[in-house]
Amino acid sequence: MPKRPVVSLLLALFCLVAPWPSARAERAPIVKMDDPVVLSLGARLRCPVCQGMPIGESPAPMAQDMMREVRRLRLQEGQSEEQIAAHFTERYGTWVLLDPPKQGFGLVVWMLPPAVLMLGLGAALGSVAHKRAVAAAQNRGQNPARPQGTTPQTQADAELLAKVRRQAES
Amino acid sequence: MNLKRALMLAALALPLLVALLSGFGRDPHAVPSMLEGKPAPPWVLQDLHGQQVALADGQKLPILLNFWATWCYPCQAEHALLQETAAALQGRARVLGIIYNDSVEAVAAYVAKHGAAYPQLIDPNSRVAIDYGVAGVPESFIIDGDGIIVHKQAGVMRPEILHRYLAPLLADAPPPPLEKGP
Repeated sequence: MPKRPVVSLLLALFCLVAPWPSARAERAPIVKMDDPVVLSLGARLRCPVCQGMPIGESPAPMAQDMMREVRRLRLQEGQSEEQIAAHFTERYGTWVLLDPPKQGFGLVVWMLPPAVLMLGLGAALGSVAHKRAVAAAQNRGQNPARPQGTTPQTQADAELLAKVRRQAES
Repeated sequence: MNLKRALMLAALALPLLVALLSGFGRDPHAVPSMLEGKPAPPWVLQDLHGQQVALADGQKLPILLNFWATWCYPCQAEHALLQETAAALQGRARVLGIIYNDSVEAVAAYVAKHGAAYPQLIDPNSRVAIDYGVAGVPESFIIDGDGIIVHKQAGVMRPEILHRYLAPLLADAPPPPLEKGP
């Protein structure tokens, strides 16, 4: 009986570790096959005939041809990542980059979400402050009989003042 | 609404309005070409008979360069116009087809059946297509005698496009297919 938990644990461990060699066998060649710059560009460049898909992930012949061209420019001509990215933007425009460049109209795309968030936050804080000010003004409006220059200093003072007023009125 | 709030709303709405207005007048289907007004990327390719053809071959003749494939129905639709244009412009301009992602056998069979008035060039691994920023077929480039890209036509070629961009590049009168244009 005491051995059963140990056996179960070993079996569970085996199940976890068993797929490891095959998983490694599937992933390792991709990393080894391609230069890191080629992999990076495969993720950065848009497939022209797909819906927002990078060329490195698309099975479309056009995307595969573009990946082949990226490899050629990198491995045969020794171009840098930015040179290859420029090679494609000269032909397809900045549209071919999945991340818009942080300049010109692309900068607006990057700046707009945080700007709108800040504006929304400001508007929300302003609204809360405005509501508090209105509530405070209404509270002041409910006790209008306080004479000028006689602001009560404590709760006890205020209660005493109210008591005196009631007695005076009666 | 007080003046301060109205001004704030106007300040927020104005950039949005400008961005929207700037989009009016643009063709939403138009694919921007980065190469218009720039020199056409040079190439040397083989035709279906193994003959070498180069962009620079034509003694300063204007060029109509058409990327196409037999599996592409719009390409089939424009084939007759391109045939007619090539026949009419013989010696005054060059019409060239670059095969995009298609088998040589399929193209040879297609042109044998539908006409082969102009050379069909084989583009291994679509290198020339990528060099021209081709994002689909059919796409055509009208190139002047100095090798400058005058116009990129994404989609089916139409007589009015030839009339507008290719006819002015010809040294003499417009050819018969262009008379179909406005």
